[in-house]
Amino acid sequence: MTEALPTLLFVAIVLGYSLWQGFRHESSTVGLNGFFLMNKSLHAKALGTSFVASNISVATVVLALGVVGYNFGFWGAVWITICWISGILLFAYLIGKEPVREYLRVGHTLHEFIGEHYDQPGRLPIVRLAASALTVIVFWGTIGIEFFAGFLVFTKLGGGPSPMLIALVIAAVIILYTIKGGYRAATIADWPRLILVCIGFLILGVIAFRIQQTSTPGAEPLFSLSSLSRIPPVWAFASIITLVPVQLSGMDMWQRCVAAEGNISAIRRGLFLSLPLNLLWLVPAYVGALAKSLNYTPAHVNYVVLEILDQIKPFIGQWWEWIVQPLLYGSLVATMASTIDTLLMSLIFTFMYDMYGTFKRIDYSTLSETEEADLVVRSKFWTGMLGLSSLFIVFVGLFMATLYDLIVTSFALQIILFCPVLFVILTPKRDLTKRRILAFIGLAAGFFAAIGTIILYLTMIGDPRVLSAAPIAAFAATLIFYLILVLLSPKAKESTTIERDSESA
Amino acid sequence: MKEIQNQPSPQTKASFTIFVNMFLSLIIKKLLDTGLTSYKSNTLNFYHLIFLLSLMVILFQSFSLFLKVSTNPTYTEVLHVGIRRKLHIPALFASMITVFVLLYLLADFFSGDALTFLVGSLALAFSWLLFDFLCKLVIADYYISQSKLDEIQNDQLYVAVGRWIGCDVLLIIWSTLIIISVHKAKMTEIEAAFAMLFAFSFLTYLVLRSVKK
Repeated sequence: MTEALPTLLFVAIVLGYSLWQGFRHESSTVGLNGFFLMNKSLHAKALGTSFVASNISVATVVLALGVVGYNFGFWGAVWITICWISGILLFAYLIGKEPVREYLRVGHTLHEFIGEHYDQPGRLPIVRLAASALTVIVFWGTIGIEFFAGFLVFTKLGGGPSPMLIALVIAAVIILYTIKGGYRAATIADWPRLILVCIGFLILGVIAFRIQQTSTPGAEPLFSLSSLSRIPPVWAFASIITLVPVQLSGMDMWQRCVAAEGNISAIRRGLFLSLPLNLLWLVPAYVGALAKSLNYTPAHVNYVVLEILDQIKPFIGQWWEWIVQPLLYGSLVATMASTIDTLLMSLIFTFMYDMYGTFKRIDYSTLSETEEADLVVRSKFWTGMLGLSSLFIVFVGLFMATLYDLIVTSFALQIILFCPVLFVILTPKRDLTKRRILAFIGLAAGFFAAIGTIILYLTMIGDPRVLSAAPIAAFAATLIFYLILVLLSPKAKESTTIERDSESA
Repeated sequence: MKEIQNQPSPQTKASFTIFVNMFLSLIIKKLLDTGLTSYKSNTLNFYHLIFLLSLMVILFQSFSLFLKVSTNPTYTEVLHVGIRRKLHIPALFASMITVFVLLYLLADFFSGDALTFLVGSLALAFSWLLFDFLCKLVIADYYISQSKLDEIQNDQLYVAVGRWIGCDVLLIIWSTLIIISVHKAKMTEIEAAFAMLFAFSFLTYLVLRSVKK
């Protein structure tokens, strides 16, 4: 217990800071705009830091990229980073295009945007609901995956309390401060946590470099271009299909842009300023690749980075317990908090605005103060419910799938929303609402293609190439239906955004 | 809501309060007895103390919820109308008794093994679900009888009970998953008990938040 005490204390400080931010910003969550969009006052720097901090998650970056480094070499991780940055650039470019540009200034959610262009006014918005359901499933699952990653991380903390107990405490704190402080607490608290994350990653990188220098090189080359041959073509293609569209189809990105009041230049500035920080992704991959290069065989390849952490201790000596371990675990908890609070806010925004609001027929533009306050209470209640229920994924992880499978599933489902948005931008002169059933089927087809492939992988085939094919199948299925939809749609008379503007005027 | 102007009689309020108080006192007494016996027989360890304290917190929170509901004019009016309706009195009170008996048994089991505690929690969650469902039916029945079903969404208690049903369902799934985890040796019993208490406390916090101040 004494060995883990400094680490636990430091983790408690990180959580305490987040909690303090939540309570501090509670007064700003009286209205829906305050709770979900921090009253549209997100500026470029906060947007950039929040974007990077929430995307460096323990599950996807720390653990999954370690696996990528181990299985496909360092260049595999470089390829992933290139795809990711391409996705950011594509997003930055497309948000400048109409009708997205105008929508971000006056709109609310990604699904509302999709619904505006595919659903017929006065009828049940099935496309909007289907798109929202996809986001809710994906984000809910991703939050659970992150909690599961937290549980795994703390299994390696020797001498500490039960990892399940720590994971539950962390979950409770994150959900609680998100309920209290809303989007402001989730965003403003990110930059100090990002500094901590950077420190943690740098320490990990420096230690790995020292190990590399003091060890005998193995048969597997680390940085040699010949290791490019380890990258499977199917996986490389799946990475493009997954990571390039992921920003445009992510509700968290749309929420950030709307919170920045659709100020395109500020959004782009924030994204570009934070771009170099995305290179931090390479550190866990480097650790994974180094493990392979030194002929280290992990007990479980999916958790190779965690096993390496165990091996690091002898290289550090006394500093390990008092400085290095607390900083590493503190940064991992900060990473978790930054990711989960953002996802939770996007999840609840989608749930309340697109699903709850639609079913309850709430007109968010004509709410009285009392009604708005009541909806904030309801939103906070559902934040707690959905946050807590996402812990179910921890059990799924314990029983069935591995972390890597869960991550691929969530990405495969998220990119389904890329096609609907892309075709709205590409075909401004088409009236897509005439084929709303086809739009709905397209989303459903993407969903079933992804889930079917994953089930096939988990139950029958077990070939990693089938797992990589899940995002490709989801993307292809959606693309086919949306191509047919666009071809069958008649020409539009007027733009939807212009209609809305004239109505509001 | 304007139709529901008749205040509950002092007798109804008093009997309701005494009924709940009696059971709560009984459970707290049982908890203290069990804790004291365990202490005397030197079987009281750190985890037992945590269980004891957590259960006390849950009970006090339940009591606080009851007070919030029973002292709020909006709720007491509806509660009174619901309780007064002859057909529903037995059902309401039977489910309340089930809930409190289960709480009592839960308190009795807490010093036993964690699996018993978990099974007790699952049964408790089911009985809460039944109780909340009946409450919702009673309120809906009232509005139907008044031909004012369109006003039901303005009823704070009806909305709150709907949220509690959500909590109950979540608790049932949670308990089931934990029991399976313990059965499959994926969790230790202590971890499972803490996970259960965590869910209890968190959901109670949410329920308390959801009740109109």
